[in-house]
Amino acid sequence: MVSEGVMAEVREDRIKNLKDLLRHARWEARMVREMGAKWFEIRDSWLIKAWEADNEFLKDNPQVRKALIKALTQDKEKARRRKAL
Amino acid sequence: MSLTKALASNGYVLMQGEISEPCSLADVYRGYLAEGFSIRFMHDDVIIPNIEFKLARNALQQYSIEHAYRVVINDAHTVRIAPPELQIAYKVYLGSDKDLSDAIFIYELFKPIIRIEEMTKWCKELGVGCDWLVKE
Repeated sequence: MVSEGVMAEVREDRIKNLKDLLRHARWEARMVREMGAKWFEIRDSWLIKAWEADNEFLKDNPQVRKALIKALTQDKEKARRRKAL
Repeated sequence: MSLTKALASNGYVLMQGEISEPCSLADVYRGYLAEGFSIRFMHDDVIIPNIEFKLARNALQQYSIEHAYRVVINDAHTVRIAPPELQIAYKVYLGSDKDLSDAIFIYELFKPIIRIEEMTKWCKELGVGCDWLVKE
């Protein structure tokens, strides 16, 4: 069983984490407003490389590709399971 | 049908069925859209990113469509987006850490055009507070 002291620390940590996330989101939006498209060029250069690598991987691994499509399209199945519960 | 024709001729593929076969489209319509589920289109063989498409299911979604903003991209393309005031209120209502940071991102990005009264109205409607967004 987790003590109250530990729980309080976890709660405090979670709040701190959320505050950081919110501060970062606000800062990022300000960057977009200030720099426009340039911001995305800077921010996304490594994302584009990662996306290209993922794409190549999926082309070479049709089974993973199939599983990903299945995961993305199973809203209906999830709802059916929820209903069954 | 005209939507799927236009998408197919521009190289899009339907994830849940065969975009060029009317029978398959009818099945997908009956099995997904008519049942309130969404469908996804991807371009060529690229899975991510993809476009999620669904029919308006409630009054808020209907409002978003009727009062959509037109955003012009590179002076060439137009996309319609839900009113930011409603997007923010809805994100706050959903309430996960990611939703809250999305809410603050949208608020800060659209700050110059955000109608605070409208945003407050939607927050009240959804039973959430949004004063914390405006403070800093």
